[in-house]
Amino acid sequence: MSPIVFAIPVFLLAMVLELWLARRRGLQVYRTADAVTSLHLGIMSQFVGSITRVMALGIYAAMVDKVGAFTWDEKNPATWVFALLLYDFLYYWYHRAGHEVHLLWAAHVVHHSSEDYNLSTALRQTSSGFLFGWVFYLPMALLGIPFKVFVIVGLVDLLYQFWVHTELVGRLGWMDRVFVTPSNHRVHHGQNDYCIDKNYGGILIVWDRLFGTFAPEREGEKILYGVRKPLLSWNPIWGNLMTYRDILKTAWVTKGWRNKGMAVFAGPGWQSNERPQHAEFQPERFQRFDVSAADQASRGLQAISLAGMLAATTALLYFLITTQGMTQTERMLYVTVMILVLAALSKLWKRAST
Amino acid sequence: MINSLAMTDALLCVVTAWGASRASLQPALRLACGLLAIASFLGVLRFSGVYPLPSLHLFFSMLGAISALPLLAIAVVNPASQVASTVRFAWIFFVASGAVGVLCVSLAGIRLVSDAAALIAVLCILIFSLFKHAAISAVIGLILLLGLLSMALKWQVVGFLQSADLLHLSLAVGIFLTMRFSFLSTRSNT
Repeated sequence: MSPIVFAIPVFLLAMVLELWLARRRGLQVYRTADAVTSLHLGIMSQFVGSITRVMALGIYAAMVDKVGAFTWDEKNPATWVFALLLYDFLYYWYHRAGHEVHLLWAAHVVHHSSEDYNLSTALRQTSSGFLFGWVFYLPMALLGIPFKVFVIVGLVDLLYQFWVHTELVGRLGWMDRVFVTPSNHRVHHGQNDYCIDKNYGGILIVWDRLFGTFAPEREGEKILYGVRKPLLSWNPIWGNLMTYRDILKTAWVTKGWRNKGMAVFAGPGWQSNERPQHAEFQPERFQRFDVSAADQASRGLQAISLAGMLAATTALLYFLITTQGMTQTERMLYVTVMILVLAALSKLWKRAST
Repeated sequence: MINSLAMTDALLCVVTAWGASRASLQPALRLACGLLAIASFLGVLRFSGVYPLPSLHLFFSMLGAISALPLLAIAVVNPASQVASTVRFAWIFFVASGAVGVLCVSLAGIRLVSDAAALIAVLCILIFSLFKHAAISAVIGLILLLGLLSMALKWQVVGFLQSADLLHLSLAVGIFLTMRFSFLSTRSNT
């Protein structure tokens, strides 16, 4: 059974705890529509991942079989430590490419599209990461790191990153210098000038220090979360496709093959003469995307939205528990229906706000 | 008996490792050299029997064909291009072409893809040079083409040299000349 099944209740409880703690401190770190959208995106990524994971993990397993150079003792702790370090190192480069190459940014942007920063943001995951992610972990397959070790250290790396998505934990002294911590990762999610393309590490921040992408959190400069080209939607399908469409559109209208290539492979900040998109970022003019005041006040709407999200979570848990017994067609059907349900749930807010 | 494959791979390894370490070379050329250096080093380990890792050697040889030779061709044909002149785009090209190689050659077993990529890259160098009347790069293209043909047609020119030896030698000579050619063009530009 997928370990995610056990992690989901822990994640939900941690979010309730964070909400409670924030209220006790008089802070507002959650907005219902944003948090529910984060969870919808997380649920969708799990549904899509249940099908696409076969591809990414299958490639890894096949490559270990075909090319794997060395044999590793799974009972030796050194194997696990080495594998985790190597995975984290490769994750750094995958993550960095995800920010600095437009095509890869299209997959990763979803995770940064929230303009809040709380534990639900950690679950706002992409559904299209399977397309390119596997390439970056091939060195592990070439070294012959066993499939089981790869999957488990990958999960450890991913789960570690959950707790760093919070505003409630401040500076942590020496830990901030070695590990990815809430303080370091807040910078990564910021759109202030000093935050752009910084702090890519997964578990260790040491990689950023080594490769010149580290920036400490600044006292007295409030971090504005989100991306400079905001999503402006609660729809999880659109959230996953928006930047791909943007790239296609820009590449289409841009003149010259060189520039078309730049539209796809340059950084997200690259500007096409034919389709300039980025105005200068002005922090003082930044406004978070939100639902209308009436919707914010509507307890009924919030309750329906939360109930829908909880029902979708239950459907995901049921799916993850029973998926082994399903045929591929049943699986595809289930996933398709759930994606449509999630998209429909997102319309609650849109309809109410217009 | 002389272990010719290990020796010619060692020669290729020295030439390409030297190329990869030259900061003055174009990023695409250095990356191509680096890939070929790894492949030829694994070849030395394999053919000398010191530490044979045949599957890894074949894998890096495939990368050499599908990524390194096209990078080399781009560096010769269009040295001002983003792929040839920037580290970032050279790496993007390598990752993208490498991914195609993994999917088509390593997993699907379609070796034709890497063979075709290598052949097209070398033909591009040759044809471009002929059109531009660039004698040095035409010679480079011709040497590389002969190396590929010797491998494909299993030529054995000298008794103790196998067809793969000719490929190793042609790559070593071709890359050495490319580096010299690159130095010349750098000097003439400055």
